[in-house]
Amino acid sequence: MKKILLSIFLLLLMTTFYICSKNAYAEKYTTFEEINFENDYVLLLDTWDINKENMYLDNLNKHPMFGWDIYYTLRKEPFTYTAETLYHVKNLGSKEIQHTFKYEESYEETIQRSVKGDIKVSLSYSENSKKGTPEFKGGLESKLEFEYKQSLKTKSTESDTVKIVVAPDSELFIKVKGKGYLYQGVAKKFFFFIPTTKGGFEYVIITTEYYSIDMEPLNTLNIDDIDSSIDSDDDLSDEDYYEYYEYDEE
Amino acid sequence: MKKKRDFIIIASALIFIIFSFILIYLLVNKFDDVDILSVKKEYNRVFESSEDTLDIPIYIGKRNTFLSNYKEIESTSISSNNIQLKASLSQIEVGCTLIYNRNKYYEYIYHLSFDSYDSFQEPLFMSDGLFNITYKNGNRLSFRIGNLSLFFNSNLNTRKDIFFSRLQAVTNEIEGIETIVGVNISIKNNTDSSIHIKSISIKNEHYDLDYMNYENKQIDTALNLRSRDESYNYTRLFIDKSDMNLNIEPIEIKDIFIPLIYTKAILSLDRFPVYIEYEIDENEYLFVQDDFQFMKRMDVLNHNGIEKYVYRYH
Repeated sequence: MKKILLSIFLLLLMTTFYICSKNAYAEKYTTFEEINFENDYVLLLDTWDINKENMYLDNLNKHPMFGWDIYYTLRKEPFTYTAETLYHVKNLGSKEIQHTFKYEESYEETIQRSVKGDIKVSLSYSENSKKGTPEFKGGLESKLEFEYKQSLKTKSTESDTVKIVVAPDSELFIKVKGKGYLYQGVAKKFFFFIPTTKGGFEYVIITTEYYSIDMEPLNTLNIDDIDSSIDSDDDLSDEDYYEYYEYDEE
Repeated sequence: MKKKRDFIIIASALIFIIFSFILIYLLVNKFDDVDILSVKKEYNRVFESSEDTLDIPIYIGKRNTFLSNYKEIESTSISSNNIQLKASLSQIEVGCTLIYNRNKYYEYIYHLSFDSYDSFQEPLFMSDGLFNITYKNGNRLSFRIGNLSLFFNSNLNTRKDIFFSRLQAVTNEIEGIETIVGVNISIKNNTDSSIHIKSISIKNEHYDLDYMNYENKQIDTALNLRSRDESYNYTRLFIDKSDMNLNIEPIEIKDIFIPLIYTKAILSLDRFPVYIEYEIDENEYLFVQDDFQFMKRMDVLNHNGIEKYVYRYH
């Protein structure tokens, strides 16, 4: 009787784990405009189907009493990328404007993660950061190889700015390219030899970012722009006609 | 009676042990060393007003020491050889926590502003500069921070004759250092007259844009310039600074690539302004593009130029 009750309890526990951990998680690198790997065989985690995931999970054969069994499918795969445009200023006026671009909010996160299956990512908050720092949940983070993770800087200084003159009838873009390394694998977590969590993990470490300024003429005014010019009061200065767009990091 | 005596002995022993611990704790803390790191970098900056600050990161092995306490600092300055430049400390920003040689360091960014914003025509160059801090307790510490080229001018770009429609670095790894080896520049003439470009430079003694050897095409990537001939020499003692003789007609945009040459050794460059000297109807003008961060390496303590200091409490 006791054995049946214990089995039911464990079954319920595992079902709860399974139901609660099915949310997929992927950080910004998965939506980069372009990502190119030096080696052609590299495929991102989100392209895996269930068969591929299971095939890699079959490589896990340690079955520890507690904790994680980890198998890396890829290690330190070099890549380059082009991120989405980070900053965009449109000068609709007839005079030039000087715009101050703040780098602070525009840097990519240095380490970005994505998961598949039951593995999850949580946010931890340090005293200096209001924005949570993501990490693999359930102690997986500390088991992974984050080569020189601790020497990486994740933010710029508060006053890190650049002044750029935007020509009349022009739009200015600040574009970002970069390079880094990709790590990928599968992991299983055991509790009394019983697997409670299993799935794929992936993380990228961005090592360098490259910034460029591009300014393009506003050749085609769309209907919205014309309307806003007509609606505007004549007293408005040229500065009133400038718009800027900051792309959300989230 | 015996019980009372035992109690006194035990209580005395406990008090003795507690005091010993406190004494040891105080001694350990009092004479403990604090490791400090500074990073030797290339600072090329433009200052138009006190809003423009020089941000110097210092990595300290302990948190909350007087070393990073704003209230404990009496004065700050930058110096090199015979030049000393007084600076006002506007704030100390707490940065991130990093590991270097298995030791934990806390980043503190010292934001310095300067009093003088007179309109200079040339940057102030300070080779192998020191960041000096004088504390209220009498301590004076100096950290090596690298080379500085500081341009003070509160009256910049009043004319809007030219614009950059592209500014992009071309980088390469030379002698194990990833650095900038050239820039793609697109310049637009915004006037009704012909503009005669005389020079496009960084105005730095250790490296500069080799504008006399500019190319009328652009390199299509900001990433490693693998296509360049491996025998290409990025170091040259002399950089020709003659008249560039580049003419841009009204409303025309010139797309060019300018190589960057190092005069002594290859240095790790990531940010600098661009100075353009030009003429319109034989009148000379200067256009200054504010220092632009062309690239950013994330592993700040994983390259050369780390200087280590130890502060010992007396």
